[in-house]
Amino acid sequence: MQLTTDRIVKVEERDGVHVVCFISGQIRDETEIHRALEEIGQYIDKNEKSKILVDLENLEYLSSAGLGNLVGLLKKSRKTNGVFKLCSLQDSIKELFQVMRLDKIFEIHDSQDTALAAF
Amino acid sequence: MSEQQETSQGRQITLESGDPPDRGEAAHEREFPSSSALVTAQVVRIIELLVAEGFIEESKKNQVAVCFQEGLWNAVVHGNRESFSTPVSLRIFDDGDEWHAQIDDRGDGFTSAVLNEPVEDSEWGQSGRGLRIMSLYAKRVAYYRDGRTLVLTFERSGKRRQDPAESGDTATEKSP
Repeated sequence: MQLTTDRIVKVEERDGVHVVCFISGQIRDETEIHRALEEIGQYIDKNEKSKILVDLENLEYLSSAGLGNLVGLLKKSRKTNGVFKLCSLQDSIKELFQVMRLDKIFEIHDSQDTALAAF
Repeated sequence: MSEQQETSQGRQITLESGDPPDRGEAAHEREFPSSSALVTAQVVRIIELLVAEGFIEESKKNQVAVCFQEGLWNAVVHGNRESFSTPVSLRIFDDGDEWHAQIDDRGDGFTSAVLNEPVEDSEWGQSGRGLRIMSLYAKRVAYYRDGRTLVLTFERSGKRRQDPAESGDTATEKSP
């Protein structure tokens, strides 16, 4: 199984890491975000030691369901000895991560470059 | 009878069995079928309208949007159990320095036990954050009619920029 670009996310491989970016300028339906994250989950399940970086720069807001999806991906990644990181969170999403204490469990970087350097 | 939960942000979420206060005529009113696929589109449309009319500052729109997403999602999915023919209604009431968003579903409601549910496994939980998110961004979060009506109260962030009649939005709208 491969992680592929679709109308919601763009996927590229950089230094052995799958970088998943939400495509900008779109109205993102919650169910579509869920579907995109579910596909990443299936990829993690089937690929031991996967390296995934999710770039959230183009997400203006994230609901509790989206946060739950990301926690689920982190759990799967740890279970399969993978590495799962986040980068480029907008301020409002960063605040949400802090309030929900999710910044304690996720490795979050300011940019793709700093995140990739830390893999 | 009123139950309440204090969140980590110190704001209270209340649950009452009675009706919400009568706030007169709604500035906006819309109804849509209970389909989770329609929620985000409804949120985007109403947020654009409220920004245009000066209810919400541009810088706060994502915070209000996430509250609407949580409230409408709960009404559609947990309240009406995605029964397409059962509508969810959303009404906006202008109250001077504050405004209220009232979301009504036709489900079974819930008890105070829901408000007091701990988030599963703390930060490792995959659900249970919706109420906390709403209480983070809304000034007040109040449930009435045993959980079938949610009223989110926000501070008005600016002066009205546009009369509703001029905005092209009718007082009552059914969608899609």
